[in-house]
Order: sequence, then C-alpha cells, then structure tokens
Amino acid sequence: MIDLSVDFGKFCLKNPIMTASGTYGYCDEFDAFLDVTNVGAIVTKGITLEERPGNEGRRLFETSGGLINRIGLENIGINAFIKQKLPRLRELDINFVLNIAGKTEEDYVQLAEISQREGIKAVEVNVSCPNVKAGCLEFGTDEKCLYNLISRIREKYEGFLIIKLTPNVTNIEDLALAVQNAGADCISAINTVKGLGVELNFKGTKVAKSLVQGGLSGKCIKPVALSMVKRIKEAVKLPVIGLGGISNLNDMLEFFAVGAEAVQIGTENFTTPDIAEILAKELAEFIAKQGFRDLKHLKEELRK
Amino acid sequence: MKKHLKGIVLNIENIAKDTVKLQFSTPLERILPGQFVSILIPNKTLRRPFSVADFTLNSAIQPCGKDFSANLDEKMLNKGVITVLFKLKGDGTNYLKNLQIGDIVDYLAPLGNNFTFPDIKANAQDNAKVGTATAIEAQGVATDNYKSSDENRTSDGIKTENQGRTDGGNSRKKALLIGAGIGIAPMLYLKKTLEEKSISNYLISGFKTEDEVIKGSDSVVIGGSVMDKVQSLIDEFRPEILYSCGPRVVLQMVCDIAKKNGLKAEIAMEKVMACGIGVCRGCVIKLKSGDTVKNASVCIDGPVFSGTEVIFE
Repeated sequence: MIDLSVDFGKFCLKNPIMTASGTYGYCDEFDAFLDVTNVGAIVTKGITLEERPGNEGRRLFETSGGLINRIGLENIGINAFIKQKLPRLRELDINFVLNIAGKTEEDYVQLAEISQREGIKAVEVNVSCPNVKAGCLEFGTDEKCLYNLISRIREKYEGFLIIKLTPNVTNIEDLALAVQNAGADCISAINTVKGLGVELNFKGTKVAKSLVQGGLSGKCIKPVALSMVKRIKEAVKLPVIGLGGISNLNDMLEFFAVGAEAVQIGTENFTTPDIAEILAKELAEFIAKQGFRDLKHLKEELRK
Repeated sequence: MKKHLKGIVLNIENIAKDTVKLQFSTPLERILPGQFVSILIPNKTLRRPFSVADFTLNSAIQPCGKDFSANLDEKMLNKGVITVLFKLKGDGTNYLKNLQIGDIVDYLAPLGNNFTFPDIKANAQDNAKVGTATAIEAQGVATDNYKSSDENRTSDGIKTENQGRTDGGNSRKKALLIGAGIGIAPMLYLKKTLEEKSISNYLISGFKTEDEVIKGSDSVVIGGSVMDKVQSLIDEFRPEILYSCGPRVVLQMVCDIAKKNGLKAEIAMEKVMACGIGVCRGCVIKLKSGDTVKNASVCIDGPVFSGTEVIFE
C-alpha cells in the first residue's frame, strides 16, 4: 500500500483528493457511482443558516472548456443538514468538510458555533458571498473585512478551519496574509472566476439575447488557479488545498508542484462522477510505477 | 441503481431530416419509460441527456456481424440495447452523429424518474387478466402503430397511420400520448410499454415539416400545432391520462387541456443539466406544493412531473 495520506494536524486525509463544494451535494447522491470512503474528503454544498431556494432564471452556461453557474447557494440550511445529512455521513464514516456561507458576519459566527457544538472536524468558509452590511462587497475581496470575519469565526470554532479564497481580486497575497493573521489553519483556492456567458439567437434581424453572469469553473480556469496557488504559497506558511479545473492525474501533479498539499475536484465530478476514486487509484499506481516512496516523496521531488 | 457505463454502438442512422437514431449495448436489465441517459461528449464539460426512445433485452441487433467480445468488460456486457433519438443542434449532437458501429459510448444510466401507468383494473370494459394477450382482445385494440408511414392523409393535415385498425366497436383509449418534435422519443418507449401492459393508447405527434417526421405515431400533424387536434381526440377516446414530451409551450398546453377536461397528465420536462444526478441544482424548476412553491431538479425529481404541479415560468 502506497501512503497517500495528508496530515494537516487537526485533520487528516487518507489521500489528497477532495471533492469541491457544490459539486458533490451532501454526498449521498454519489453512492451509486463510487465508494465515497475512498475519497480523501468530501466538501459539502455551501450551507447557510436558513434554507435557500437559489437564483431565479437560467443557472448554467457551458463554455469552451468550462461552465458558468449561478445556482445562488440553493441549500437545505444548517438545521436540516444536521438532522438529515450529518447522521449518515457519520454512520458511513465519510471524511467531510462542512462548507459554510452567509450574508453577514453574524451568520458565519452562528454557523461556526453550531459547527463547534456538533463536533464537526473541518469547516471551509466560502468568503465569495456579498457582505450585506458592507454594501454587498464580497467578504473575500477586502483584507480588513476578511480578517475581521475569520477572527470572529476562529473565536467560536476550534476545528480545522479552511478559508476558500476567490480569485477575483488584485492582490491575492494580501488576502492570504489576512487569513493567516486571523488564525485560520488552511487556505483552499480558487473559488470560481467571474464570467459572463452570452447567447445570441437570430430570427432575421431580431436578436434574442441571453446573458448568464456567474462563476466560471472547469478546465479553462486551471492556469488561473495554478498561478493563484503559487502566489499564495509564496506569501504565507499555511497549507494550501488547490482547486480549479482538475480533471486528470497530471493536473493534480501540477498543483502539488506549485505547493498544494491536497486538491479538490469540482466540475469534473459532473462529467465523470467516479473521478475522485479513479484519481486516487491512478495516483497510487503512478507513485509506485515511478519509484517514489510515497506521496510526500513525490511532492518533495515535484517542488525541487 | 444509477451507473457509469460504457456501451458499444450497434446501430446509427439518419431517420429524418437532421434526426439521428443511436443504439448501443448496455448491461442494464431495466430502464423505464421517461428515464434518460447522459452521454459523455469528448472535450465538452457537460454530458448530454437523452430520453430513452426504446429499450430491449437480449436484442437481435448485432453490429454487422463484427465480433466485439474482446472489447467487452464487466461494464459493457451486452444485456440490452438502448435507443436514443436526437436532433442535430450543436457540438454534442454533431459529435454523436459521427459515431461508427463498434465505437464506445460513455454514459450514465438509468437517470431520473419514469411515467406511471393508469390502473388497468379500473377499466370496467376490461375483464381480462392484466398483462395477458387476452386483455388486448378484450379491449379490441390493434397495436400496429409501428408500421411504415405510407398512410393516408386527411384534408386537415392529419396523417393516420393505422386506418385499417379494428376497434371492435370500442373507441376508448386509456392513454393519449402527445409528442412534439423530438419529444416523441420517450413517447415511443412509453407507447411500447403501455402496449406490453395491454393499456390502450393513442400517440399523436407533431413535426414542423414532412421530412422531419419520426415514425411510430398513430397520427401525425405536419406544420400546424399538434395541440389543435388534442381536444377532438380527448372527445373521441375519453382517455384517463395525457402523456407528453416536447417544448415547454406544448407541455403547458397539455397541462391546461388536461385540467379543463378533468384528466391526469404526466409531462417529461427538458432543461440544460450539468450533473444529471441531482447534485448541482442547475436544472431546477418550480413546483406547487400545497400553497407554497418548491424547487425540483428535472434530473432527479423528474424528468416526469404531474401536470398539476409544474409552474410554467
């Protein structure tokens, strides 16, 4: 058995492959396609205090090598999650991270308290949400705002605290430092890239126009994600979980090479629902075939 | 149970203008009418969902005498044959149309829910046992709807494919099926299944032009709206249920006309999907739920919905 484990101290993965928030539901939907316990960890769909119906109108737009979505955080709310989904995750011993999102600092603080009370081992904070009290600027785009938010979450939550950074900023280094200074344990990067899908349909001179403004994900954002992960690693000491356009073994190795300790698979879960299990197997085979001792050894060589 | 599977293309042919029939092998032993498959398109982010237009077990279709047994693994065992129909629309369907016999199709199946069937016992005129050949005789329904379409056409534009049918004096049909355009696909499999269950039915479908007609209906409307004919068919056949698949505007009209006539309706919805398995919430529609409105995913809560619950936006 090749050792693929990743030890973050407060949180351990049996392999470095996680599944990204919003692409894996609450996990039960994937049972049909793979043994979910073979995944390093799954990250739940973003959970808010109250149930959310999500956005009106068109939610998806496929692009070359990617997908724009504007789901609008449709989710069942934290209480329903605890009642309906948490028991099953625990019963099947599925390693999971709770992804939380909110409109105000108070929302996040309450979610942090609930996570602490429920003994949830790892929480990932979605900071790409509009901060209602700060003119709806996203929490994750202003370092002071981000520092305050994370500090308050940290006061209430002692488990493994991951902050998922948005790439839609000028200086990702400043935001990564704010996260580190506020006492978080880890950074995941990147969330989706802002994008616009335009669809034009002509009937003679009449044009029907459909605009879908949302978050771009998929293969096409991988270079952006790699660049961000590298810059974050150079700015802070925190471990980084890399994500953005990973669909095969080589993509994953590229993220390890720029400093990621683990990776998350996102959009590719839609294309290949058993991809996380496939990649775990391929990674073990690759390490053995090339003659590395284990994942740590592979990462060391990749970073030389 | 949903599975990630691979199949061998057994047949691919043009069946009408810009319309392709694709048949591939499957290890599945059961797919229900209304369910769909989601096919991988190389170099595309999203799979493409297709209604199952037919499913046969141990089919006689063999790929041109070629031996593909060397390619078969556990996921590709040929227990049945899945048929899908598609209209050429974009990159996805244009990729699929170029598949050759023997090529591999990567698909998820069976996805979604299925049409439900009227209670056969409820038919007072049907005193034969459920699902037996005698039930067909008792209802006096001829089911030769698969014959070719060198049929008569009436002056109002309706083509009737089974002029020669013997109704035995009973013109009731339990189910009226309405297909619009490529929406005929799940109606064909539903019709076949209804007939296997000896449930009398009638399929009318509509196409824009004559060269777009897909065979298999009891009657066909060309050019006009298939909905123009539905009320008179309801009056004639006094069905218990309407089934439909097609553009949203047609489905809405089917729901309206069902309500007006006090009939049940089941409609198969379409929406762009990302995951196809209920995870991404990308294909959400709104349903009435008592006095409130709730979200439903077309891919997992549907694609078949009751006509009384869908809110058309």
